[in-house]
Amino acid sequence: MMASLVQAAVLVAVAAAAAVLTQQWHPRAPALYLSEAPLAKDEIGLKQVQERWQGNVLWLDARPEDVYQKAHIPGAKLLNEQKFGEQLIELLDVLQTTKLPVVIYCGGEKCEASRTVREKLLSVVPLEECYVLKGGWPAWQAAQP
Amino acid sequence: MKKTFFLCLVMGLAALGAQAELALEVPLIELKPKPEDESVSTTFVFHNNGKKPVTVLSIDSACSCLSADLDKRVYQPGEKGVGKAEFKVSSFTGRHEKTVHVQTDDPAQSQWVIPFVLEVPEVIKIEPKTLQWWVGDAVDAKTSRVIMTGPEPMTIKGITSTRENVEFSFKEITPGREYEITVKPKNTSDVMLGALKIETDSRIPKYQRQMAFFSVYRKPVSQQP
Repeated sequence: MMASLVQAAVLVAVAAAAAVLTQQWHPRAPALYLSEAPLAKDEIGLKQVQERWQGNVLWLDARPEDVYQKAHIPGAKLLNEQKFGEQLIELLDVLQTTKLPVVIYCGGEKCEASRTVREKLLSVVPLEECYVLKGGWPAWQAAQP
Repeated sequence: MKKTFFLCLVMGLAALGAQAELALEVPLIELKPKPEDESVSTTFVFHNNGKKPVTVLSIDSACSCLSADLDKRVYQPGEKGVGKAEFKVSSFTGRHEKTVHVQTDDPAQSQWVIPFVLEVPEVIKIEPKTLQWWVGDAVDAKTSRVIMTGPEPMTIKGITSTRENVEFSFKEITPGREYEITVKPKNTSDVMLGALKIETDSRIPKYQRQMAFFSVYRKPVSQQP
């Protein structure tokens, strides 16, 4: 009985040692715990949108037109990379008069479109407050009741 | 006891070494459409360089302009795979770096990032693309250059503005190659955002209408002295 317990303990110890070695030296070792990544300078989270502006922002949807037509954040305007110039012309009146912060979202965490659209938009309209929504459309969907 | 310990040690080290890894044969995939192309496709070859089978769980693209697919779902160690990618050119010009993210069941490579470089020839260059004044600035005229950088010359047929409170004109610098557009707002007392629609005689439909912008805008606090 004692020998079995010792053997089990040794097995656990060896497995733990292998895990520690992997964590320490493996170039792609995952984090030991999950934590929320900090917001980048150009990013904003849904929580901050609520806290700072009670959700009262100008939403810009940087996804393709077909997915925008299926569903989008209420009130969001379409502005994507593919037809940036034409769509921006349609938005000039809104951007000229709005005093709301602008928040741009795209299809998800790995999507770069909202960041690209933000850069292009700021090169035309030097908005004081223009952000990319962290987590994009999936984050918005997940937050809906 | 010693035998058990050794066996466990060997198994543990073996587990460390048995990493599956999907990798391209080239550092990145280049796509070079012609100016008139609406889309461009390519195939790419990769290998599972690891010692374990890898199952592809999903494929996500960082850009809706780029889609990719792989020929199988499971790749055995050493197995060669073939992928297909399609880039929809639309209004993209210049060099763009995009990525496709392949999620796998391998904890050592849960995400395989495939890098793409898209080089879309630029046939019209507008510099600067936006003419800008701050609210309260002197009402001075500013100019943009339109340069036809493609192999074929192009002529500007006409320009229209989306706003009435600007004066604008254009002149030919080099026939079919270079033009100068001059824009002057009637005042800079209020915010104004507008666009110039530039019509060309390009044989490629997507280059027949180009856009340049002008703005009179509030200077951001971060740029104020």
